Amino acid sequence: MLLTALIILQLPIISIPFKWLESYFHEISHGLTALLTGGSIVQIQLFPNGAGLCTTRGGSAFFISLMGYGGAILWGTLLFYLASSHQKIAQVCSILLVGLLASSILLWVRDLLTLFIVSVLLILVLAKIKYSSQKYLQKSLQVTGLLVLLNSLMSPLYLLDGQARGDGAALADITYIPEIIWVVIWFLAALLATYKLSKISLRSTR
Amino acid sequence: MQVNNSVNLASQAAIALGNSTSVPAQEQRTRALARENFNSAELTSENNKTQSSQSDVNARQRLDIDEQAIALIEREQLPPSNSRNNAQQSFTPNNQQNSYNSGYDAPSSQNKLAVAAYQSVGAISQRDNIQQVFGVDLFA
Repeated sequence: MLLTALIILQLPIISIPFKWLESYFHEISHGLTALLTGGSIVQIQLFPNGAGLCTTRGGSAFFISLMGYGGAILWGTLLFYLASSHQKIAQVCSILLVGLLASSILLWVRDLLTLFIVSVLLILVLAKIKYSSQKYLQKSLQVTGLLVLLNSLMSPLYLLDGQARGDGAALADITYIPEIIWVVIWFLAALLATYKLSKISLRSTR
Repeated sequence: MQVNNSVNLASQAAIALGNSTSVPAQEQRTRALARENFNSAELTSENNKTQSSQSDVNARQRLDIDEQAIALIEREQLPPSNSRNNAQQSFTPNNQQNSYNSGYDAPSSQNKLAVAAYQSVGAISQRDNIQQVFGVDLFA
């Protein structure tokens, strides 16, 4: 299953929605953390190249910055773990994901490009629910979780571009801990989660 | 003109004195007249010199005033025209360069990277402005 996810990531067009999904989970994690720490979400923006922007008001800047990459790792892990536990749970997870995407469109999407991207993700998840059997839905959700996790494994490395911007730079400004440390923390967390999930995946195939 | 004439008269008188050595009384009178004429000629020449020097000074002062006025005019008028000229000069070569370069020369990848970096800095400053104006936080 991990091999399947790695192959899909290398495919030129098919991998794009999964990058969008990882970007969506990244931005929605910023937003949900803002809500949990007493703030509010103003707007969520997604771009075709996999970039994203979450505009919030209030809340803890430290946790909101931390939970961008951290949240994407958690979402990927959670999707895979819950989908692996039971077929019904996988179905419920898919329905919850549809609800989250739909509410994002209604509440926080303000531009046409983001509307298009989130709508594509919503249609893909709905298509999975409608046209896949429970078994395939479970497998596809597991692969989706792994893809989100693999994307979140690689995406912190884009911060190492010599430009002090992004979540790592924001955390460095807040904590005076260098950006590279935060990148290493996110990378190691994603690596550890991938290792654990690949073990679960191997166990389930046996 | 007066100076030259008086000097000429004195010299003529001196020549006349040199020529008329046979009459002592007339000689003394003519010598006295010549001295007076010479002295008056010297005075007039000095006066004329001082007048001419004063006129030179006045002329210089006039020139100085004119120079100051020109300088003021230059200060008031020339810089904009110079800047316009410079701007035109700076625009025209660029246009020429663009017209020459656009045909066969494309920007290198390093230049593109530099422009992208510059634009990203601009985007960061725009984000900062948005954050300051609206009181919101942006997370990428």
